[in-house]
Amino acid sequence: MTWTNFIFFAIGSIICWILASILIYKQKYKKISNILFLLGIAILLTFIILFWLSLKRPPFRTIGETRLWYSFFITLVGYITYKIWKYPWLIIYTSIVGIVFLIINLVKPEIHSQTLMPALQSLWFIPHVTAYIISYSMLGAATIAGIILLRKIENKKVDFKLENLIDNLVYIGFGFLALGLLMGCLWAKEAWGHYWSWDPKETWAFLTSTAYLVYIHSRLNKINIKISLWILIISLILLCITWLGIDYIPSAQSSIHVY
Amino acid sequence: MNKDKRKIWQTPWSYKESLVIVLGIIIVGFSLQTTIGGFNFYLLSFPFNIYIGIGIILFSVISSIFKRKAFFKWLTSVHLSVSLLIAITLLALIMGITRQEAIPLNEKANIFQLLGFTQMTSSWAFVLIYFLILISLGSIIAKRKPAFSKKYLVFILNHLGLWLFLFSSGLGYADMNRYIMYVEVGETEWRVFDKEQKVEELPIAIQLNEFTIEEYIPKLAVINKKTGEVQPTSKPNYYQIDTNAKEEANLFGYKIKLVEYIHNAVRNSDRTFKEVPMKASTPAALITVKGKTQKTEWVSSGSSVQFPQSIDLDSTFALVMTPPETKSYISNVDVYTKDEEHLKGDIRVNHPMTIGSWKIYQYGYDNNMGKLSTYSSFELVYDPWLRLVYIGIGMIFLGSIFLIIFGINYKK
Repeated sequence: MTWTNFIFFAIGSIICWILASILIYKQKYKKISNILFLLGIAILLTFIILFWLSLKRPPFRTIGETRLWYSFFITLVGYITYKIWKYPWLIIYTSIVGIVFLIINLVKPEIHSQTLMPALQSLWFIPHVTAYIISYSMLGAATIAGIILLRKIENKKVDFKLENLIDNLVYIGFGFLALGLLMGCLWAKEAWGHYWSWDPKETWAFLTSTAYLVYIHSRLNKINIKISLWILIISLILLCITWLGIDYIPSAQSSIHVY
Repeated sequence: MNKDKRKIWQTPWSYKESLVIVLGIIIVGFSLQTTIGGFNFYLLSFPFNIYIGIGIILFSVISSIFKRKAFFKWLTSVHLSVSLLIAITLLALIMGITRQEAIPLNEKANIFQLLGFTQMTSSWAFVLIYFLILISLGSIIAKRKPAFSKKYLVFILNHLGLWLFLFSSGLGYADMNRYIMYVEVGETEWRVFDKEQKVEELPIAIQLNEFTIEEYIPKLAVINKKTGEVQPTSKPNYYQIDTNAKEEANLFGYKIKLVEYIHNAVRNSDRTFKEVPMKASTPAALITVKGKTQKTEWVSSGSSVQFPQSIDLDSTFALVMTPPETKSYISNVDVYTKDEEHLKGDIRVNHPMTIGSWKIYQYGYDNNMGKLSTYSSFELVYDPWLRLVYIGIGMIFLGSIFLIIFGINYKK
């Protein structure tokens, strides 16, 4: 199983998710929509597992590989949240984000070698990256919900349930973000001799977490929720720079995290 | 106009005052930076870090006693917390987009260097905000009444954990020492280089019994013989040799098939290879290449003592083997300390050896010699504050797990 086989799986998942999104608002086809959505996730997971087996190493190393996981986790997180909170748009939005990342991988697969340099051969590798990807999915979903809430507020509508959903997603997402960061610290201590060295990626990870802490604490007292929601959007932009943008920042070229 | 509307600086202070004060502190920091230069963290080395720590803890206790006073109310308010978080985020953002490096000697510093942007973590603005966070966070923890509730549990794990982590990593930094030691195979060494490349003697000695390197199976590539560039130049293509592959592979229009692969090979006198398990060996592969013509020849990446060997494809292109990437390097050592402790074992990347407050890391080897390197280098890190850092990390770790399990309490 290699990137050349990816297109068949990707198209399968994409078709499932598109159909699920079309059918989700039709009461009669809700069940079919649910099944299709899960089928899309299952197809993607099958590819990931086969890909993993053929690589003989976990597919967590390159940006292309992490996008694979992101598509998987964001749709999974989307489905679970949909089941709990019953917002049909969750299915549609997470489908769109999942599909976008699959398409990016189709157009720009970034094929890399099987070799793993010594510093990456660690028990911390898989949990560190997994925690981050789950966190990114949660925080991405929270931001989507935040944008919807902002629009509702513009239309003078109130939706406390949605406010709670956003806060919950951010709490859980931040929990995973912190776990990813701390596992990174423990790993760094074992691999490089210090748990924190202000490497550019570390600096960005740090400021992403503090930005989310601004959001979390700003929700503790009566600040205008619109301001909080904008903080949430800015935080996601910072998060995306940490994840994908570091390679393009001139000051970060010496980072050990640039692949 | 609403008559009850609060004027700025009238207590209780809110966001306006908090943001103004935090901004003021940053401005003070920048002024200090431009006049007296950066903050020297080594001033905080033992025992001064202990004094400051006790001072912060005492202050936190006092602030919890006077928690009803307007000032202490503000010091532990969400308003100040948010303002401090915004400040540290912005300072880190500046750090994230500015290259962090020392100001070169004999060069006139530009405005960013003068303000400390290029050495953010030792700039006054950063350090002042760091201390204010420690004080405010400490007071917040001291103020809150302990309770047997989920809420308090999550709060205390995350906040006290963070306080311990920030405190011991920042104030403990000055007590941390890192040294590099080079040891020849078969020798024992106790002299090291410190941060300034000065030689020092340590109470630890390392005897290097054996040093081994394992390498990955290399890749094949087509290069232009004149320029050496891997083809196609726009998107270099490499073929990972796969000893299980049965089919032909396509590399830049050539069909290639692996006939035989030897990981530890030595060249015979006639451009063929045989297996010899010795350090000077090189990977070699017998490959059938089909282009306009077909040929089956040996290709090898070479080592420090064997020349590489390529397969000529035509007048312009040749098939080459890339130098093998390192899979792991392992030093088998005996470590002795002055207290007559003795440890024996392997040290490799991601698997340091711990002895007292010391950790010994595999650092490097002679890259030019590769497998033939006659020495191995180690990094020795002494960090007496590490335990406290780990306690902090452990607490936040647990706190985060609870955060994930509980979420935020559902508001009706």
